[in-house]
Amino acid sequence: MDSDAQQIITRVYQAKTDNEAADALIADYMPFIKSETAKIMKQQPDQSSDELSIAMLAFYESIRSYSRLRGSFLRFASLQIKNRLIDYYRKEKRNRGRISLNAATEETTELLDTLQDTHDAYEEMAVRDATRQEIRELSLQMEVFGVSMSDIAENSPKQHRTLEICQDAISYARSHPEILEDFLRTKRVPLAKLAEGAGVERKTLERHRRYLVAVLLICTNGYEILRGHIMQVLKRGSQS
Amino acid sequence: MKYLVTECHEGYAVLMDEASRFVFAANLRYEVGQTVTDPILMEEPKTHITRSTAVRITAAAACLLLLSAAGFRYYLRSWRTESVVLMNSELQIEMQLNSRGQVIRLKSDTEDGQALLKEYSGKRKPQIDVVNDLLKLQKDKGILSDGDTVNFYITSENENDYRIYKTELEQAVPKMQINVSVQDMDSYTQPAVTTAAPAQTEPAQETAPVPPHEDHQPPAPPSGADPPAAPPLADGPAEHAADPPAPPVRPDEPKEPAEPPAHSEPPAPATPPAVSEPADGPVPPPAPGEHVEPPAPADGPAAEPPARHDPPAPAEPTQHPEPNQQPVGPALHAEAVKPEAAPADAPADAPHPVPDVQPIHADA
Repeated sequence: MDSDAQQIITRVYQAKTDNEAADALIADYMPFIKSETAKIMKQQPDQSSDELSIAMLAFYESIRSYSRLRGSFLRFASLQIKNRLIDYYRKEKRNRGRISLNAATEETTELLDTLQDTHDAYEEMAVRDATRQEIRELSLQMEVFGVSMSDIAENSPKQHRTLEICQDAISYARSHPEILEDFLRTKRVPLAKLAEGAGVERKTLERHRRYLVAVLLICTNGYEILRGHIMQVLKRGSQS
Repeated sequence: MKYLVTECHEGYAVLMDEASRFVFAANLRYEVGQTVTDPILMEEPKTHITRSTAVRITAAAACLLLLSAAGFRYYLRSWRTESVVLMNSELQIEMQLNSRGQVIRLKSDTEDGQALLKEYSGKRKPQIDVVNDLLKLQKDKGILSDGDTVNFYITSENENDYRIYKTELEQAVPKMQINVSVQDMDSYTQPAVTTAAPAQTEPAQETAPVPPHEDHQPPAPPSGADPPAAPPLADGPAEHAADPPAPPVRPDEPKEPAEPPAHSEPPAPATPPAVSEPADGPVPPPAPGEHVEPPAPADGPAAEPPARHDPPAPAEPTQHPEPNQQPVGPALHAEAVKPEAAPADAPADAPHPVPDVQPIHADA
């Protein structure tokens, strides 16, 4: 028993820094996750159910926030899953009385199907495919810099003030194309130039270097859709 | 806020919002490139208080408690009055002491004392140092002189401290040529500064002294020495104030001969010549064999032996000679020494030689 607990803890600590190890751990403990979900749902969760997805997210949260001082990992994860699902049900309770567009009106049709769709589904699918392609290319280019999307999510600024500082640096880089060229050529973020040019603290930029890599890459050619997604922010940054 | 799905995993997805933030969210069957609007975002790990932090906090709280206790104890030891020493000189200065014998407060109810304290602080100094400083200041200002006596009154919560302060005062103050008297505060009644000069005493008549007893035989004074001070007259003016029971030697008075004259006269009384008037008056030296009659009352100061230094005055005597203390004089001596029978060969009417005794009326 102790060896199993120790093994789990070892894998948890490994999964904190390795996304593949985290995925493997989640896959290995899927039965545990389903079991905990069933306790809350009072029924076996469907593979495609939101509750199961939420439970898996809670399990991943447990991996990231676990420490040995918290005791048993599985007990900790069970508590996290339970809390998450309860929050989800409370949120759903607020929406009670509203009809879901996915509610079935007849045996095979949903309410959504009865509404006139003004969107072009084909166009939307085409855009999604193009977006997926850009994201794939971005991921490949980020690997050259030694970063992944998960790394960027972890390194992304959480506070608004820090985010503004990073946006000021990015805006300065966009207004000086030679900096972006140096960035692509040297595969290094010119922190000193950005800090001096944008008038921000270099330490803040250093703390969020991996995030700056992703956003600076988006600002280079080839990523119009992604750039369009964050254009409001880029416009505001250029105006400041 | 719209979120762009950039990466999907088994248990989570990575989304990018319109503010260019990248976040973790639940993978609700997302696809990369999909735009979602209401994701279930992952909560950031809360910074929980680790055991080491809890230990640190507890240790800090304990240190704070210890510091508070130490500070309170320091306050009690340093700033709380545990003893009071009252210097009962003319300035009436009160010293409040802490548990370590340091002066924490000085005050005086007299104007002069307050004026003095304005020039002198003395706080946090040992009480004996402050006492020495204050005495020195008073001597410099002429308030005290060498030989003066200063009374100290002490009250303390700690009996040991009382003894220590008393000993310190009794040992240190005399070194400044100041006489010291240390008592408990309970015995404090009124300020008193005594000087070296003795206070005058009231004459005997004011206090109704006991008249001299005829049977009382005064102690024989040493040869050549003057008799002790005699009681004042009951009815006459006060010849002198009550003399202190001080040495009877009066250098100005003639000394009595140690030996009687060689002639056949009866032996001279060994008593000194100084005679004070008895209650009935001066008594002439008795002749041998002669009936001794009580001398006539003295006229006044002349009746007194000339050498006596009698201060004037009629103050209330604090002390006076014992009422039964008889002046050594011829009359009593006459009683004590019975006149011997005249020698057989002496003529009956022959004048008897007078012993060489200072007459009472020598200067009359």
